[in-house]
Amino acid sequence: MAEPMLRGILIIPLTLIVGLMLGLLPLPSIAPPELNYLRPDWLGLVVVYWLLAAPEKVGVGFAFLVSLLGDLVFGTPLGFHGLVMVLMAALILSSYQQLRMLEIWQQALLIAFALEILTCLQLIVLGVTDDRSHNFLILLRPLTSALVWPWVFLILRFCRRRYA
Amino acid sequence: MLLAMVCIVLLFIEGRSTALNPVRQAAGSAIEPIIWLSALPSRLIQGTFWIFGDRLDRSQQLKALDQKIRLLEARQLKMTALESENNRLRALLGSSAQLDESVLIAEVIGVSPDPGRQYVLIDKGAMDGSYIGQVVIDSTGLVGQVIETTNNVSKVLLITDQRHAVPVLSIRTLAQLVVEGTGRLDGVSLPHVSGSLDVQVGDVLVTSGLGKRFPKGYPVATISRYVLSPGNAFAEVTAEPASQLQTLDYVLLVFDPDVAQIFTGRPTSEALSDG
Repeated sequence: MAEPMLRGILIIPLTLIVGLMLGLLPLPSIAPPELNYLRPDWLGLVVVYWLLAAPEKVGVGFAFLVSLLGDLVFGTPLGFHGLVMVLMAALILSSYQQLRMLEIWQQALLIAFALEILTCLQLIVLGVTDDRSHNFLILLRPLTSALVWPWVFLILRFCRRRYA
Repeated sequence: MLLAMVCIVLLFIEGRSTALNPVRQAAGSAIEPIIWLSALPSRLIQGTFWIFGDRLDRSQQLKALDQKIRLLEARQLKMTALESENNRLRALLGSSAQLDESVLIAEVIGVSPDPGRQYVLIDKGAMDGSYIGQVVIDSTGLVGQVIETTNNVSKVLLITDQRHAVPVLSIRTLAQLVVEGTGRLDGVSLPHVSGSLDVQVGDVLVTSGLGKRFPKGYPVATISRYVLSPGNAFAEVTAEPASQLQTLDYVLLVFDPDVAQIFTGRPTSEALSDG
């Protein structure tokens, strides 16, 4: 009985590490660097999945810790990912029961919408705290994230059912 | 809500000061394995290409490299003579002799996933003697400087990052200038270039050694655009970096003979000498 329990706990950090690695994978050097703005927020999507699937195990604090890890790995200022992830987590936890009932594409739309608003908020805060200029192409990132959400969802659900 | 406020406070601190750098430094070794893991796929692919690459092509490459080495060795002969002559003359002038810096080759294992920040990760860290502020070059020019170093990985801020600036010297006119990053890999800008200063497109800029961070004489950039609109006191000047920043694969860590010993506590002769 102990083994499935252990695996059930291990699967979450493992998927997070995969999310971090996907975020770090370098683009081929011939690709224009602007393409980086279109990278889906893999780590965020993994956190969103676990918030939806296992809200009894993970919470806002979990999202905060993961976001700090993301900042350290990606070299962004501490708190950069946190702002979006913490508010996203609070939103999801307040309505995960309704969200679970939706079709995957509806979830994707809602996630894109929420991420878009939070990214705007992030840009506003960064505009105050950070003296360097920011590229507004970053507003496209929630859209690509929404595009990959169905696959993230299906793969993670498979992993959870199979291994946890 | 509380945690969101914490995030905003953190962002404020990070934006305004370097107070949280020790935290980053401490956490760096913990996330090192993740960086190595994510670098693995591209390294594996490169390795496979290397093993299964065309043999004939390889032998031709070898021949070309061999010739290049001979050429460079021949030039080195002259360089050694020139260097000693230069040092002798400097001694006559009473200024300190320019020491030969030793270097260490490092492989680039990661690039910044955020296009707003320009840095690369290299496979040499504190264990190899790398230290914060260390100058990084490639075979064609200045690349940047080390800003974070953990046991086996260092983060190198490129000269094109928006927060990077280098004091430079124009070879043609010996004018002192500053090269600032723009956030784009293909261009750097020169702020506060007075309209009366003699600057032309094509001027080569090398590090001036002012500020004591960068040793004198490494190529930094070539001026690619010079616009002086009438009525403006300052000209708009952009330059093209000398180093191959878009396709970095190997870089050289330069050991400052004075600083390296303070930081690492061991003589730099242990590092691969370029002599």
